Amino acid sequence: MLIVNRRHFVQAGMLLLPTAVISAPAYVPGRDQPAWDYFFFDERFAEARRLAGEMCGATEPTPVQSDITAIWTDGLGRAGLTAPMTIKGVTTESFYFCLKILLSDQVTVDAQVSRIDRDLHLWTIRTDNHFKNGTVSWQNPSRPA
Amino acid sequence: MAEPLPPGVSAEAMAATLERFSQIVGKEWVFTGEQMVSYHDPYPISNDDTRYKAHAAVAPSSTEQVQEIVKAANTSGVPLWPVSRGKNFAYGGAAPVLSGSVVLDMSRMNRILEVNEKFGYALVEPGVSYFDLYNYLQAHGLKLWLDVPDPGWGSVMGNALDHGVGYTPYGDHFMMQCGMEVVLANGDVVRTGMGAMPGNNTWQLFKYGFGPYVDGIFSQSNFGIVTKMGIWLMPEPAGYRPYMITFEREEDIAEVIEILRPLRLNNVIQNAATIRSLVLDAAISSTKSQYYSGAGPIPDSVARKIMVDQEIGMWNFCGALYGPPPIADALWTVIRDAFAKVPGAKFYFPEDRKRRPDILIHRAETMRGIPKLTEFNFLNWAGGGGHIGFSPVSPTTGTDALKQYRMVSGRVREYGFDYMGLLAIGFRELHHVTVIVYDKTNPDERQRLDKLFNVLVQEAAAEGYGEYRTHIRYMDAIAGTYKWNDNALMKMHQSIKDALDPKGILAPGKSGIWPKHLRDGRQA
Repeated sequence: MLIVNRRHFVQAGMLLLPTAVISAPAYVPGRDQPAWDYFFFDERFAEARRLAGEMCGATEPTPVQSDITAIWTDGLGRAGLTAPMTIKGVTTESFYFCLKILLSDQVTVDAQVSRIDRDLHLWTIRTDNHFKNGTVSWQNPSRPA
Repeated sequence: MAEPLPPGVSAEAMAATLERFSQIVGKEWVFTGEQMVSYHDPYPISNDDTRYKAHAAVAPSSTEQVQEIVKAANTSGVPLWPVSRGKNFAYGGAAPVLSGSVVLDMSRMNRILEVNEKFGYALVEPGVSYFDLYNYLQAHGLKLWLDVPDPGWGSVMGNALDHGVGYTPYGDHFMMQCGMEVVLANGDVVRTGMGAMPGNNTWQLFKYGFGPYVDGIFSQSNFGIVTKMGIWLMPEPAGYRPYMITFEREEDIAEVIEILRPLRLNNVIQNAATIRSLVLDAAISSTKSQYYSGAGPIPDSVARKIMVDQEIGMWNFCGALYGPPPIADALWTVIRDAFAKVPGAKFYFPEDRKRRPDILIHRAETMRGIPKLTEFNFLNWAGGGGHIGFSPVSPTTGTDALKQYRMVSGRVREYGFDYMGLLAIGFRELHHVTVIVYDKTNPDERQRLDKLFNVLVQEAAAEGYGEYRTHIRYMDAIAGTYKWNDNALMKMHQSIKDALDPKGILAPGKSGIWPKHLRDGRQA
């Protein structure tokens, strides 16, 4: 199986997000080892920007605007199958909701979420590489009848 | 809280049935306890936590396993609630109408059995999502387009069976289905249409076969479990040009619909286009708090500001032209000239839209069959993340459109919500899909929504408008409005139910159809 750097996936996805600011490297130089594989924040909200700055640690935060489609289809979906991940975010609820459902279709997910204000949720999702005993559309062997 | 048991089934009988299911599918594919969270309604409305809760779930991988599960359920009387992928979230997700049911989760049955480019169809199992089928077409370089609803993670089969709609010329999904394989409640398997003839090669080409056409009775029903379905796919057109026309005033909807009807009937408007309201479109790229911090629906002044900021109208008509450029040019001339009669109408192609994210840029992908999750953005409008669809059907007339809009938007605002609606344009009718976004964590708001929804159902029915689809909580209420001639249609449904599923093990309560032993006190 081709294993591609997770960060590469996210960057590829973010190219489709017009307002996203992509910056390399994956982790902020000079800081400790990252606690999160990804840190997503909704760049439209000042509180999300502030919390991202405070909490991202050595992980380069990724700006989003609610819609998870490009990030997921361009890489995060496959990345979720290759190794356990810890993802943190300060986003709208739909971003968190969609990510949790998408990951839950593939692997076991442990999620914690709290509501910060009317628009934002602070959340952490941890996955393991034990494929879930549930919905597994990623298998999709598409073999003949 | 312990999982509920269905009426008439003891804990011992349930345990024995689940043990039998484990023997059929393997114990790792039978789910109970904490594993049941993903089978709950993600947007609950009821404040009674015991409602709409499954006891367990079982996930087969083949038609043969479905047959064995059904036979075991028939022996014990344990009711099953079949779901394709369980992603029908605004309508209850994977949650059953009857608490204690066992969810029959067919998401493991996710094979794309055939894609035929020459004739333009696919044969799929229930677990195949729009993302799956789209990826398959892309990976194999097939010149075929999907028609997708808004959530790309849904089941191709499940959406069609629930009468879902999309946005290309193939937007009526059940119209595009052709040929089914169905497991009946006694475990028998039937193939419909041409599939009933051994050796036939037109199962996905000709719907009707010989004799009564029965596919329809397996949609929105509990008469059988569909395990394979053909779906027609659109050949990739020689050209594609999406467009948007905006209209400034609420009352414009009447004139717009009158202009639109002959264009749609004559296929000048080729696709299942939509006319979307201001707040629904604004909510794709912004939240209410960015414009308004007060309570209740936004005032008109705020609506005007959003229109200017986002270059959208009070109504926004998104359509697309499909075919060779000369044909598209000719069609566009007719469409543009027709709608130019509406004062203040503005016309856009994607290259005219500079703001990002933008509603036309987003809809342009959907109208060419690219599966997405973007529409979930609108859940963030007011915070709280719940939503439900109220979807009455009306004729394509300006009078009906304006009347429906005023009825529904007035009530929605009276109950403290913003009106977020769209008119999905069928050949001769409008689906008026009103999305009500609410705070699912707030019991008072859930109760208010519940009252509102029941009022909407009754008021619409009083004017002759019926819903085409609904959340599990309102299936009885909606079924009760289709009551012509002393509920003759429901009585016929019940006769079919009793004949095909005498023990009532398949999806009790689906679409208001209950088995005989659970009908007491329910209208028929």
